[in-house]
Amino acid sequence: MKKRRTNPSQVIFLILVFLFIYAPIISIAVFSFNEANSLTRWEGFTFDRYIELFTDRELFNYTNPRQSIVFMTLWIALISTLVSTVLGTLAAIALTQSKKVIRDITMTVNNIPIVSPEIITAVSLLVLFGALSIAPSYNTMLLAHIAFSTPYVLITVYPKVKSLDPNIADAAYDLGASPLKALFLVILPQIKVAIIAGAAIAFTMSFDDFIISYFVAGSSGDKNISIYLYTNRLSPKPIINALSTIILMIIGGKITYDYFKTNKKTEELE
Amino acid sequence: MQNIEIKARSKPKKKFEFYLGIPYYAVLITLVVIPIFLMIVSSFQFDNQSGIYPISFTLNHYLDFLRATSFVRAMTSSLWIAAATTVVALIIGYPLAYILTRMKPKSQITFLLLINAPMWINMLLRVRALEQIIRMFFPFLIDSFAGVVLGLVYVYLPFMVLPIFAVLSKIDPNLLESSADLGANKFKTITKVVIPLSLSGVLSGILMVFLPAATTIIIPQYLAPSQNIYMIGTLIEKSVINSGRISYASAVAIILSLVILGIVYYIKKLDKYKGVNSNEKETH
Repeated sequence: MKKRRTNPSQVIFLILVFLFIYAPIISIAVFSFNEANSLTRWEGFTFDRYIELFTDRELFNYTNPRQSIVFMTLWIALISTLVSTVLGTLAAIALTQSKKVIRDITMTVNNIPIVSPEIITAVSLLVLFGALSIAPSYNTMLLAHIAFSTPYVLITVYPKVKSLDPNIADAAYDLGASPLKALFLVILPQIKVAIIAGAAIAFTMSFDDFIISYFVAGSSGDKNISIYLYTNRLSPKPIINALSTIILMIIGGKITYDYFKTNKKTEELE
Repeated sequence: MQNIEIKARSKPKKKFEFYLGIPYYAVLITLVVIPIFLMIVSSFQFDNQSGIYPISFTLNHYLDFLRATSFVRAMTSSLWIAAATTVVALIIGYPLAYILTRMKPKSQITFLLLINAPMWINMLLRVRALEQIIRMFFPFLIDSFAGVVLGLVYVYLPFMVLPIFAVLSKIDPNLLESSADLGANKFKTITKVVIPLSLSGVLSGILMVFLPAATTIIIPQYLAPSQNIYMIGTLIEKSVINSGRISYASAVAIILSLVILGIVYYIKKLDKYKGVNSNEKETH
């Protein structure tokens, strides 16, 4: 039998590592309730930072959403997710039908934005927009996000499409389905899970992106949340802690939900 | 016979499915291939031109690297910091991955999730959180080499743990037992069996930590705000955002890509045990 026991030194090691990982994140949340305008000195509990956050005209502009950083970040994440998920999924289906040479070339080019450091992708897109005289704005940001998200969707969806039994689609054709009908009623339902996974990656990548957005849109004054955080790094506004805490809670909630869902599934399997 | 029939039948469908890829290829060519090509062209242009149209040719930006000390300094300090980060991440990440493989499957899932979860959080938020903690408890680390390395380890540690965990969990426990049966002590089993078998995971972990660490912008800006630690990312950021020298930035990005390609090639070559574990898995 394999020993499953962890000894005390291992437990101490684990505690230290997880303290290292989580202490900063917890401190952000704690200081979002701080009465003092300080990130290092505690003065008392308050919800004021949250009220300030939701009344901040730069982050939340309810009358003119085009000027609102939070709204525009979500909007760009949504649109780029939608576009990249559709493009990547359709390309994954097309790719299984193409010749091996084309498949290999496509996969190699597709991997360029995934493996190359973000800063290099950022410079190359900046040069492109400069050469085409497209002024930096939320539009260039959106195009850039589509450019780096689509390859991730393709590599997430493609293995699933490849594993499908081609006979099922053929059967649909034999039974008289049109290509569109076969696509929507036969192929897409089978790869639904992979498409959702690809879309989740695309959304997070867009929502969290900093370097590429900063390079292609930073000079225009159009900001997403990351650019806002970065440009305010030297004047630490406590409302950023409140904003961070809300984002942390949404992500934390989603992860815990997924965790208990998969746990339930494994228990059912057992 | 059957194959031929199927092929004949699915021809219209193949054509339809081929067209599905067209929008993707349009995006891939205009937003990935052409930008790289333009970046190469741009690196040979003089700066402060409008567009790329008046095509000129200069090697000035490349020659600058030999003359300008700022570039050489930024490059060497980036590589040093990234190397130190990789070593520290390996020292923490390897034992962590090893401890994880010894746990019950259920706790493995929980702990893996706890290690992974921060990766879904915006990196700027995490670095800012770390900066807050460092300013509170270890203010002497601000503006120091060690502080920047700590920040990079904080952000990229999961990239080291995950690939190592993946290979370690594939090692057949019988191999460890037979090593013990043949008279090896625990230390010898680890150095002669476990570490060689996990080499491919270690190498991909090294690449996944080294590359983003060497090209970071965010971490030195937060943890070394007085900019005494000058990395290649900062150099590119400054030349683009502050002085608008896009051609110069292109040349720096190309040199950086070449250096990275060299490092990737060298590390891939070290991977002599590649596929050992996966082959074993297949024969089971």
